[in-house]
Amino acid sequence: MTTQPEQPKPPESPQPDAIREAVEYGIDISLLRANLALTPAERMRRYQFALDRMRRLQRARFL
Amino acid sequence: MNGGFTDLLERLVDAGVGFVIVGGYAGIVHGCTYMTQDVDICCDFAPANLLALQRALSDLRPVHRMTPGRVPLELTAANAGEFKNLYLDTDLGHLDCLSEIHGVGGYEQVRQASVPIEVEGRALRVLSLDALIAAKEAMNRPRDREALRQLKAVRQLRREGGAD
Repeated sequence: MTTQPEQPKPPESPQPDAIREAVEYGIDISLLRANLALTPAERMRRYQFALDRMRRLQRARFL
Repeated sequence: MNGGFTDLLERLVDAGVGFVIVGGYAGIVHGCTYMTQDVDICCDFAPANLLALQRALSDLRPVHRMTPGRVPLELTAANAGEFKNLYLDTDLGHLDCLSEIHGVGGYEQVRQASVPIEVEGRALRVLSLDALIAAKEAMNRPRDREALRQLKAVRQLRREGGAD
C-alpha cells in the first residue's frame, strides 16, 4: 500500500467581481458611476423627476 | 420641496417620526438606477410614533392599500399597538412602514445599521449599503437578486473610487 503524496491546496478563489457581474448582466455601470458623483439628496430629486415623468407617460398610455 | 417621496419623508421628519429608509428606495439613495413605485421605511411601532406618523400624513388621505375597500388610516392610542406593518397609499405615493427588516432586525437594530443623510436641510437616516445588501440576501426573492447586482456593484465602485 502506497501513501498518496499530499496534494497542494488549490489557490483561494478571488473575491467575486461585482462590477464585471453587473456588466455581464446588462447593467450600465456608467449610470451607477454618474449617480455616485451626486449627493443622496440629488439622487432622490433626480429619481423623483424620472418617476413623475414615467407616471405622466403611463397616464397618457404611452407605456 | 421636490414632491412625491421626498416630501413624504420630509413630513415624517418634521413630525418627529422615528424611522429609517429601507428597501428599494434605500438603494436609490445609495446610487442604484432601478425604479420602485413605493418607499419603504422601518419605524418604531410604539403607539406614540405611529400616531405621529398618522398626524404627518393626515391631509394626504392615507389608506391601507392592501385592505378591501382601501380602509382609511385611523389609528388611535388603543389600536396603534396592534400593527406589525402598515402598507399605505397617500396622495404623495405608496408608503410601506415595517417594524422589522429580515436579515437586520427590529427598529433599534435597523437604526444602528443606518447612516445619516441630509435632504433639504433635514436629517434623515437610510439603511447602510452593507445592511441593505444583507437584507436583500436574506429575502432572496427574484427582485432582491436583481437589486443585489446593482447594490454590490455600487459597493465595489465606492471602494475603488472612494466615492460617498
